[in-house]
Amino acid sequence: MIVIIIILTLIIIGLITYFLLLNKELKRLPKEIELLKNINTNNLIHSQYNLKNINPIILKINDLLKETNKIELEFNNKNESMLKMITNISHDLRTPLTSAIGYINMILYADINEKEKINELKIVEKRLKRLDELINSFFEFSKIMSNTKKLELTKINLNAVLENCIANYYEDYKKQDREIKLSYCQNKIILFSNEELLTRILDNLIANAYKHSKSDLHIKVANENNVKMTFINELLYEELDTKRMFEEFYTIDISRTSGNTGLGLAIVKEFTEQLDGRIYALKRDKNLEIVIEF
Amino acid sequence: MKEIILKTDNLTKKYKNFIALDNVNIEIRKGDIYGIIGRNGAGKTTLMKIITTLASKTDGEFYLFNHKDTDLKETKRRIGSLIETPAFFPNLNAYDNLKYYSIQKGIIDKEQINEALKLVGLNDIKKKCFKNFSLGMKQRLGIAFAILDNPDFIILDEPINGLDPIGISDLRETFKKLNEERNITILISSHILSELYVLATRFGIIEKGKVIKELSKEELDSECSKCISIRTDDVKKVAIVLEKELNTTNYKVIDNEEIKLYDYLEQSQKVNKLLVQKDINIKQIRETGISLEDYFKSLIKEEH
Repeated sequence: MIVIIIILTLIIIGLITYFLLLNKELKRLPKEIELLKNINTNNLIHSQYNLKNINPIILKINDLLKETNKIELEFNNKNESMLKMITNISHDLRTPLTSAIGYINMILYADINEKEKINELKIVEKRLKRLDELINSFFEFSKIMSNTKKLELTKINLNAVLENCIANYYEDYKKQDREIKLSYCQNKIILFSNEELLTRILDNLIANAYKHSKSDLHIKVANENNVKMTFINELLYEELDTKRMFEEFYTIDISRTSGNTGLGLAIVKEFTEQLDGRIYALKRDKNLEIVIEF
Repeated sequence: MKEIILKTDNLTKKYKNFIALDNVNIEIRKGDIYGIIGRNGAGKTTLMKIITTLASKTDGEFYLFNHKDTDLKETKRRIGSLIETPAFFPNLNAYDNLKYYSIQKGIIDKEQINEALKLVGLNDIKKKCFKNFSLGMKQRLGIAFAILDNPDFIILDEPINGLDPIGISDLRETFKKLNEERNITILISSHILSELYVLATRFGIIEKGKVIKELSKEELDSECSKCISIRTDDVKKVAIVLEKELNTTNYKVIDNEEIKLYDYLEQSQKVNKLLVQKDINIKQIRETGISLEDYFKSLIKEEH
C-alpha cells in the first residue's frame, strides 16, 4: 500500500513539474519570438527545458524563420547587384557619349577644314552606334527575362551550328594570335533544340572567352548520356566566383572590365534553361571550364 | 544605409607603460567582411578581445548592434567568435563536442550541428577524437563552434594561420559562403594583406595600436589596379586627345572629372605632357598599380 502511495505521489509530482515547465516555456516562447522579430537576425529560437511536446513547434517556427531570412537575403542581394549595374551602365554609356560630344565640340568650334569635319563626324557616328548597341543590349535583356513564348524545337546538327559560330570569331582570335580548337567525339551530333537560341548561346560563350581571356579557346564536345560541351580557356581573374558568374549583372570589378555589362553569361544561362539544359563553371589547373549539358 | 554592427569610439587599451590600442575608431556595417591587417603585436587580438569582452577597455567605448558596451546581454547570442581555441573535450569527436555545446545553448535541431560541420569540412571525420586533431582541424572545429548558433556577426582572429594552401582556400570559400548565403558579417584579422584581399570587402590597417587607414575593396583596387587616373575639368577634351593623339579607346569616363586610361601604363609623363600641350587643365594625373604588399608597407612606413 505504502509503495503504491509513494509511486503515485512521485508520478503526481513529476506531472506537476512537467506542466509547470510547459507553462513557463509557453509563456517564454512568444517573448523570444518577439525579440527575434524586432532585430533582423539569423538567430533561431532556443529551447530552455527541452520538452518533447514543445520541440516540434520550435523546429517549425525555426523553419519559418530560416525561410524568411533566406527570402530577405535574396531580395537584398538582387537589389545590390541592380545598384551596382546602374553604376556600371552609367560608366559604359558615358564613355562613348563623352567622346561623341568632344568631337562635336571640335567640329563646331575648332579651326578645321571640311574634310576633317567629315572624318570627325564619322567618328561621332561610330560612338553613337556603340551607344545604341549598349542600350539595345540592356533592352534586350529585360525582354529575354520576361519571355513567355513557347519555343519551336527542331532536329539540329550541333557540329554545323558550332562550326558556324567559330567561323564568325576566327578572324578576331587570329588577330591576337589565338586559336579556337574543336574536338568532337563523333562527326554528327543531332540535338532536338532551337537553332536560334543555341546559336546565341554558343556565340555568346565564344565572345565571352575572347573578351575575358588571353589564351586559346578549346571546345570539347562529348555525347554519352547527354550532349556535353566544355569551353576551356585560361583563367584571367583568380577571384572569379564560378557560382555567381551566371548571375545577372555579375562583374568582378568595374575598373578591370571595360565595355562589359555583366549580362552576357546571364543571357546564356537563361537561354540554356529555356532549352532545358544545364550550365555551370569550374576552375581547373589555372583554366576556366564552362560546361553546358543538354 | 545598412545597419551598423560594430562601432568603436576612441577605444583605448593601456597596459602599465604600453599602449595596445590608441583611440581606435572603426565602423562595420551589415554584410561587410572587415579585414583587420597589422603586424604581430599591432593590436589586432586586443581589439577583438575587448569587443568580445574577453578583455576590458581602458578608455573610449564601443557599440554592438546599437547596444553600448555596458549593456551587451542581448547581443551575446548574435555573436560567434574564434579568438583562442575554445575548450573542447579531448576524448570526444567533433560531433559530440558540438553536441555538448548545443545542449548547453538550447539548440534542439541536431541538423544544425551537421550543417556547421559540413560547412567547415569536418562532416566526414566521425571517429577521430579532438586530441588527435591537426592544427587545421582544431581551427575548423573552432569555426564550426562560432557559427553553431546562427550568429549575425563572427569575429575570427587569424583563422588561417598555420593552414596549408589548400586549407586556406577552402576556408576562404567557407567564409564567403557564410557571408553571402547566411548573411553573416565577419571581422577577420591577418598579418598579410594579400591573404585577405580576395575575401574582405573593407580593410582596416592597424599599426602600433592605431588604425592608420580604412578603405573599401574598391578603393584598394583603384590603388592597386594598373591604370592611369586623370583628373581634369574637361573630360571631353581629354577623351578626344586620347583617341586622336594616342590612338586608344581603352579608357573609361568615371564621372565629370575623372578618366581612367588602361593603355600607356608607365608612360604617364608622356600622357601628361601631351595633355598640357593641348591646353587642357589637368588637376592630377597618377599611375596606380603598386602591389598589395608594397602598398601595405608604404602605409606602415608613413607611420614611422
